[in-house]
Amino acid sequence: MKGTGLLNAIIQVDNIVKKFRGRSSLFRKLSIPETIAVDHISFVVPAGEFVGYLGPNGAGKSTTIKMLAGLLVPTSGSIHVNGLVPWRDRTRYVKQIGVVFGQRSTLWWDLPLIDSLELIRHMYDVPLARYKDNLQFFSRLLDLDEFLLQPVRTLSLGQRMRAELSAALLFDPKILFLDEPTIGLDIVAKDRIRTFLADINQRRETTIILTTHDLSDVEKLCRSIMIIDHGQIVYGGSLAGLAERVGGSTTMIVDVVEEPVDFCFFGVNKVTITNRRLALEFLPQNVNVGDLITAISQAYTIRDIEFKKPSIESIVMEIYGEAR
Amino acid sequence: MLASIKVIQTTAKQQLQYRTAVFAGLVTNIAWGIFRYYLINAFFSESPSINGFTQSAAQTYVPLTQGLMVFLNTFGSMEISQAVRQGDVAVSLLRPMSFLKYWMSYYAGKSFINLLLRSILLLLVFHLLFPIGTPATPLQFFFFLVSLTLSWLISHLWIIVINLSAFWVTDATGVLRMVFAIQQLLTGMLFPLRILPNWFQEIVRFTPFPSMLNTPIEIFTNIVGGAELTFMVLQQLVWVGLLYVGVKRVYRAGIHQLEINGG
Amino acid sequence: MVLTWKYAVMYFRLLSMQVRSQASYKASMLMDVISTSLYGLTEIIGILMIVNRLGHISHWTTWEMAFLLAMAEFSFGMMDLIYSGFDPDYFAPAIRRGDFDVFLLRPYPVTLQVLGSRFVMRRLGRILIGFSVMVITLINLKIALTVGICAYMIIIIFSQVTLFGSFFIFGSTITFWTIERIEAVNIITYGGREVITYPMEIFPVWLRQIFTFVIPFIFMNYAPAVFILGKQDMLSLPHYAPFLAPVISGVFTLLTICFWKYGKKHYQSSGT
Repeated sequence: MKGTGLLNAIIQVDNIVKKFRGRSSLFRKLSIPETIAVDHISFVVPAGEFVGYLGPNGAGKSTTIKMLAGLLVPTSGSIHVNGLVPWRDRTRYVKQIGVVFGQRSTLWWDLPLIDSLELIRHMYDVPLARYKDNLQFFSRLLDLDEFLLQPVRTLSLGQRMRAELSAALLFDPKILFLDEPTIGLDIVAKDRIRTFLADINQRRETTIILTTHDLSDVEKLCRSIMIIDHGQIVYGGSLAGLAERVGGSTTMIVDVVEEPVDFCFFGVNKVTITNRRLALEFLPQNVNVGDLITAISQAYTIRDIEFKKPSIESIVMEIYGEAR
Repeated sequence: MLASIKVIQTTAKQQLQYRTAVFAGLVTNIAWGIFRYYLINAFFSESPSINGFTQSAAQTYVPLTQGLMVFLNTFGSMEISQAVRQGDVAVSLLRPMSFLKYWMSYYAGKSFINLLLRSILLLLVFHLLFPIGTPATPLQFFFFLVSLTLSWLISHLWIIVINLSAFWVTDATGVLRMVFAIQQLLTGMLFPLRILPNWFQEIVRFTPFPSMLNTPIEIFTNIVGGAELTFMVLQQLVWVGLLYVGVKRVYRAGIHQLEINGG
Repeated sequence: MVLTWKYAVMYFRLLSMQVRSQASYKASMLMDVISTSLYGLTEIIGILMIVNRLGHISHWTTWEMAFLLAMAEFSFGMMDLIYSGFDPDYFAPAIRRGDFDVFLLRPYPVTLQVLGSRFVMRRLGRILIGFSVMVITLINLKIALTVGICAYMIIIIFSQVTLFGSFFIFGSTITFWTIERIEAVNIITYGGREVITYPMEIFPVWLRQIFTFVIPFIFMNYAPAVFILGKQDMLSLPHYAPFLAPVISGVFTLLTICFWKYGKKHYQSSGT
């Protein structure tokens, strides 16, 4: 992700800073000091990428997304998305992006869903044929037909999210920003939306930026991730690289017949012995697992082996912790 | 009784949380009061008294109505009808406290804070700007306090009883808005009832509306006294009784029909 | 030109969404229209009953008073309908909900979208009352409705609508900074409506000066009514006074538009 000047970069963020002016109020006792929500961030997103954007609450995540969507103007630095500056060329720019907020509706509450979609068609000048194609496509993948004629207010949360996604993609945006799209959904609904997103990303090559607290979203969908904390990007890269970066160690648990006394092996950092069980912690890059198993089997009779990889949660937690 | 006090305390505290809004409302209140003051004064440009209502009484009438407006809730309130519509009344059945007692305590808590932060402050401000008359004798003032208390009861019992229409009417908001709109004229909130046509006064006399606001104001401004005063206060007492029985009956009927129709 | 046409079409599309939304609650809409009309009606009836008893107020007869009231009621109702989206009571919570972000994400001017975001049909109640009373008074006062008078009245009503509309925009723009709505704005909006319904002679000099030089309400309804009704001007206003209304509302509209644009910029740099 690092390394500017990629030919197919669709989003190019250069050294952006966002400061929020403090507030000193005559009437209130508290005056809010100036805060730096985003502190010199740079990154590049290649076209067609599916990026997970993570960070604890208040890390600067939504500020970044708002700047990318053109809702906020950065204090300094530059953003180019598909050759445009988001906040400068608003009307032209927003035709190229779709935005879905998990907790906020952009549809007309009291009217049937189809009315909202029709209006969006006019708003974004979608040719009728294209509109029909898209509607058909979404209907197939998201079963819109079920509730197309129902007023939006009567939709379930899962249905509403499907509706919001269709509305955001109706005009074939090049980039899709998703803010917590699966929040509050049950497993089935989540799964359906994930499948749909993966499909859109692959078939239409829509670049997708996803912010979420649900790390299983990221695991299932994102090819690369960015982690922001305290206004700075603390990690940017592939999901696999993340574990290495943290130094996430693997734990091998070996059940043996005998009662083990002691065990040593070069590269294994920690050995815990409990009740005919050895727990060995090591960094995968430092140890040849085959050799390790051979060594154990020479000393003891192995009954069972189990590997424990660090969960993405624990890795991300560790990264948040590092920055503190 | 103890539970009532608790509810009063809680709503008062809650209302105190909105004190910025209460003060903001005060500023608007004062501005409106000033506009109305000059309008009503203009009525008296030819003669200092219309139908027994004097100009000096009118000058006291404006700040008094502006000040007591929020205390008496003359613009009404739709909270109960919303509670009925959303089925929250079922909750009131679970409370160890009667429906009426709960809501009267609720309004009492709110009114208490509004009286302190808005009514009294507004009267003080107006006292600095314009001459405000006072009751002629301590006894008159005492009757004013009695009458004001009764007004408070009538006004709120009335709010509750019409809010309960939500048990039967699907769109109670519209009905309430209609009643509250007309009420402004009938209670003497818009203009002193005495300067309106006599035939109009004759009609309004037999309704509870003058008892909600006009009566204490006519007592405070010394427009009424003696037998007339006693009669008006007695009339207020009758309305308190009737509305009390009315609320109880309507509420029971409402709950009854809820039980039949299952809401 | 093409763009203006496109915007106009979109505006009416947005309005049609609003109207259809409200029509889905048919029964309550009629009730709302009636109940809203009652607020204006009770006030008008009340004041007319009093003026009728007294004969006149500061040289204004019952029907002349009714004309002042009707004009104000009609204009304010129209304004309240057209500028519904800018009603500060509605706009402040809408900002907090993030509606404004949604407008910024759509390829149309934000102002147009705010105007199209709300269209409170129950205001028709006030408009209908205002209009009916206006017609009745004009007939009773035997005002000849020449083309000139009609055109003049339309201009005056237009001026009143845009002036009060600009107050609404002003009140909403403030909420970019305050987040909460500021109640004092009601003094110039609803209070202003109250002020223009009365003959200006009733106010003391200091208030009249405010209504002449600070917020020139005096030229919005009073001076035009004196002109239309052919009354003698008791305040000896300049002879061009009846024609100032469009100028005033033009200036106020321009100022508030600048302020609104500035507020929008502030919103995009602070995000509230």
